[in-house]
Amino acid sequence: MKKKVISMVLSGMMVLSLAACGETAADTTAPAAEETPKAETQTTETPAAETPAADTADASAAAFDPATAGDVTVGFGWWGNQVRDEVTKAACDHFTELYPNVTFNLNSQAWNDYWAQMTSFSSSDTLPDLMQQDYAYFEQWVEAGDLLDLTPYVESGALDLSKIPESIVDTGKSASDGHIYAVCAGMNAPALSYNKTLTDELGITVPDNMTWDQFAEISKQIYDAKGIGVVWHNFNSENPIAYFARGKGHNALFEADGVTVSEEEMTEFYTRLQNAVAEGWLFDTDKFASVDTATIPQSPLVYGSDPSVRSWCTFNFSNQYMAFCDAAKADGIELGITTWPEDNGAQANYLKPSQFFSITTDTQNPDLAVAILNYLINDVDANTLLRAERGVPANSEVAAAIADTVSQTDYTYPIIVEYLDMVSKNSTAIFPPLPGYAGTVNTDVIEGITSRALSKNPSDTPADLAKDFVEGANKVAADY
Amino acid sequence: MDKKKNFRQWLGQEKVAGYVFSLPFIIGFLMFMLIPMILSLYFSFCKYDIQNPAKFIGLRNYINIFTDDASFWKALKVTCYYALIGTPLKVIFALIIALILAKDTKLTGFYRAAYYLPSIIGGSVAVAILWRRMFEPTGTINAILSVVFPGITNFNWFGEGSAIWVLIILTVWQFGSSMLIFLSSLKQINRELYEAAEVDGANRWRQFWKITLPLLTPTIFFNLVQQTINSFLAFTQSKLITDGQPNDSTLFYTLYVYKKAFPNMGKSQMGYASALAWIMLIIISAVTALLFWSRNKWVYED
Repeated sequence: MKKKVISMVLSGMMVLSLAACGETAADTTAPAAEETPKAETQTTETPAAETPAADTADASAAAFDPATAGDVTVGFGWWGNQVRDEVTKAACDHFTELYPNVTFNLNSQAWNDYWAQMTSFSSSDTLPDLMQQDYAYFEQWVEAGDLLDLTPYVESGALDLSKIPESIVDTGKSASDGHIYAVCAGMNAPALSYNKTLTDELGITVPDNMTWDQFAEISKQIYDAKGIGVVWHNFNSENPIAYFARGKGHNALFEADGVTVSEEEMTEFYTRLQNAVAEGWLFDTDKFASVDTATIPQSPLVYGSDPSVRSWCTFNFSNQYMAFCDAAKADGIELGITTWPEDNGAQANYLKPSQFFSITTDTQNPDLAVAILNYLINDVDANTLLRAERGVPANSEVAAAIADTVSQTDYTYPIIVEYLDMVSKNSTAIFPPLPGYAGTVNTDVIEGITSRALSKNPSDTPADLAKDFVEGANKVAADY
Repeated sequence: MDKKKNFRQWLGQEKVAGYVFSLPFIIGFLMFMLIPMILSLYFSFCKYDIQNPAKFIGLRNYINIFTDDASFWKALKVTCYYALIGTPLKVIFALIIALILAKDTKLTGFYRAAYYLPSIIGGSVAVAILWRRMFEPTGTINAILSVVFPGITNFNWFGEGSAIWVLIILTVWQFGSSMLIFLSSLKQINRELYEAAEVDGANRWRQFWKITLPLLTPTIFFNLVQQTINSFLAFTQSKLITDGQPNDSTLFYTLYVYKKAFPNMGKSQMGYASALAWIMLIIISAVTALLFWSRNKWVYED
């Protein structure tokens, strides 16, 4: 079992790297428990002199000893869920145990509230030292000058990214200057979590890489038998459209001057949605409004006493599978995991950095923040405590080292690793990060059109919606 | 010593003391009202995303709002609907309960407190979340309805037509502060008027229409103005209970402003949001002016 898990992690990570760097770094004889506490964060170099609030890092910042930072409080903000809050707190507490002079001010929000809060922090220059970032949006934050350039720290060795495959390190580089502003916190892939207890009961097998029609067929079957429907993505998300565009063979959804998808393609997309609503199995806007999709424990996949407000699956990402399983336990439901349905699954699937850690320019202790970031990325103890909830660690050695311990406490981990392995064999490269205007397309264009598409009594044809989407998105791009 | 005395003397002057005592308000007013308002007026002519410096663009925001923003009209419609239906309902409800509680019995004190309570806690986050739970498809309200009317099961209160009513019911439920104001002015009505009316043979109904209601019109007017403005500024309910869903049918104007200023994702459109806020200020001023203009037509003054 142990060997199998580790080999799975490694094979997964290697495919991720796409560079096929053959270093079999797996030192299977180093289980987490044997690590001495300070070994990871304190490297061999002598502690540098304290450089408080250094504006730029120089070589002397390498191997900064957090013990010399004085009594400081470090802010750390992220979006997430109950499980993530717990594991992140545990990892931070462990750091405080090692360095009692460092305490944390932890700030966790639901995804929807996180960005609003961080934007207002940004305006008052009070961003937390460490900030979770998203692949889609970090470019916008770099543009605003809110993120610290990590390249000097990587060069000085204070931030060790040598164990992370180069292609993954590159995902944290800004297109503007090629510098590193974000470090991958873990890998994941789009995933459909589904109620396996239910599908087993109905004798339905859910295959990987379903086409949309297969998915519609299964959903219809479940809806007719049990009245349980399907809850769609967040209305203001580009994810479903991007995934659809991938299936169509596009290399990006957003380009500098607008979207790549054509009106004909989008007509097909909205036809699917309207047909699904007409058949009853896809939640219409009214129904969507009556359920809570913002938090995992209240997701219609796992919460709700009536079939009318339940969904047999949800569109999410593989790292969230763990929190969903945690929530499903209460209901005695077993969850399965498979790919999002799309006609050309192997083309549409992709692996992505689930999220990033960044350091903000508002930090007073950049050296300390880098040391903590280094700890979160490279420390085996930290990653054991983090339980790979943010995705499989990008540091392949760490991923291998924690595989056993995490699998013992968390049965979902090997399932996720196996899933990522499967996806890595049936996927194409991730789309480039979103340009700055894309977030506005989400809130100002996609959200409204999705509402209209999923309306109970639709007044728009799919062609109208497709036209409004393409024109609306292009207009936002032009105004940007 | 002398200096200290001089200072005390200076402070003791009526005009100085007045300013000193009102200083907390003046500071608060400047910091939280006047300066932000001036800034927002400036930003309303800018493209401003909080993270980057504001860029002056003249009237572009205002032009876009009126010519190219369906959500603006939708939000305006929803807010007016909410204000025009919710406010009168609330005031009427407050008046009815006040009339019932005007009589002094042993339990009126308790009832007054009990009915006042919702308006203290009504705008709070906890009540908003409770409200959402109560009106969920499998919530308390549907459970009660299904007992009273066995035909009704799992009515979706958060559907497009009914979601706004969930919010209206909440605001009507918070009639307490209007009720208290009605109660105090009911007490001020001269008893002799009723005695005289009784002598003249007027029944209770006639007494209400000819004495109580006319003498209450200044209070009704006050409540109406206050509650109308409150309705236009309602935010918490819409943000927490429905988040403007479904299909923007509960998108209150303030929520729309908030969403533009602090979007879930993507860039803040603070300049645009400021322009929206100024339009709201003008609308509220106009409605209030209209109410004051109508005052002469129906408000009884001594």
